[in-house]
Amino acid sequence: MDYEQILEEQMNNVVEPGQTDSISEEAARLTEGMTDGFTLDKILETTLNGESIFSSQQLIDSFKSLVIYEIRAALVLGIEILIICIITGLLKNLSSSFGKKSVSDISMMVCTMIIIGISVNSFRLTYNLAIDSVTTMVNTMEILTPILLGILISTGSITSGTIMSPVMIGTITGTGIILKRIILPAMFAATILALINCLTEKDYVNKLSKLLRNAAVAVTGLLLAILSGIISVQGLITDASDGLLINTAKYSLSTFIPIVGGFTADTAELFIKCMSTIKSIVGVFGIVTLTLVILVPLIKLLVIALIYKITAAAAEPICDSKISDSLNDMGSCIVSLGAIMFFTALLFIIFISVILGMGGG
Amino acid sequence: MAEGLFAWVRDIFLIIISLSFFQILLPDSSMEKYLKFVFSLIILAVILEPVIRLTGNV
Repeated sequence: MDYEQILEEQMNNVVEPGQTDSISEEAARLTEGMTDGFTLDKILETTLNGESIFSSQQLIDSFKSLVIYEIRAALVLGIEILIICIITGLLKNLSSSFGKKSVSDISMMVCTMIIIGISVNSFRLTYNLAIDSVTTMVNTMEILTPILLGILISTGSITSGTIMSPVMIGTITGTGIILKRIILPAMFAATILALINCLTEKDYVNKLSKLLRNAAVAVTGLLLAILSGIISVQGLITDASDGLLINTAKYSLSTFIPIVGGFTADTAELFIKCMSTIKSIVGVFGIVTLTLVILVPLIKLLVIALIYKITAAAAEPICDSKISDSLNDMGSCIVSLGAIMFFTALLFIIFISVILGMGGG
Repeated sequence: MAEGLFAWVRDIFLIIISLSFFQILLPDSSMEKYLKFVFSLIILAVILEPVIRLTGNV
């Protein structure tokens, strides 16, 4: 019986077949099939054969086509906004020939409202994308963490497993709820306020929008710092106590049992090593899935933000500075949305890395 | 939480749009600057609405 069979058997013992299918399906839906090459079975297979799990050419190609597709889609939006900006510039110059000031004012306002409508519509799609991405990340973690902690306990890190389990699962669920209920809606509000700002001559809600945006990013950063700190320190302490336990067990097995004690200790160590290999495979699956689930929406978001910034720059000479300021703020809001998603992914990847770093004898 | 936030932003949006329409339609008169001040007060009240609701039952 060679080691490949042993590893596969153990894998099926620990991770029930089909348990990670829902993660893969959800991730494939969000990333348009980019995660298909990174299911748990495929990662196990490539690890056993000693191959690289990334085929770099394919990865580069799919990212290239994604970026080009997104730029094309977002460019349409930018051009629409730019055309309306040109019309407003024309209206402003023609306003003297309308006779009455209020007529040109109202026509300007209608044009601005159209710009706001187009932007809000596209922002709603972006916002839903961010919500979907966060939901998928939280679901992935909620399924993977119990599996990883189970494997961690079977490598002998009993203290780590039992202490980390409630802390981690609570943290993940809590982070998901805070993000979806408070932080992302606050970003939505900040963007809408930034857009309203271009309607009025005087700034009514400019500072409010900036306050909401900065508060949302700051709260996420704080969440990341505090939670990752707690988890890492907790992991270090429990790991130390577990290392003591395992080494004592190994020593007493080989010393106090005559003749066969040495073999028994070696077998126990082999088992632990095998389990930590499985833990690495499941962890790598988690990290790759999380990375792709964050990367694809992040690229979309950044492309849209870039298009908004370019539109703002292009619109500045022809129309009101209010409109270009608002478009610029909108781009910043989308960048902040991306930053929040990135922080969340970073937090979850730190969690997986902490579990991977623990135990293993 | 999220629903309340969206309702608040919708209120601000509607009040600012309607007040700027009023401002355009108003005839030029000496009362215009006072009216603008009153409009600002209304917007302030809408912005502070969640704070008022949090601090006490008004």
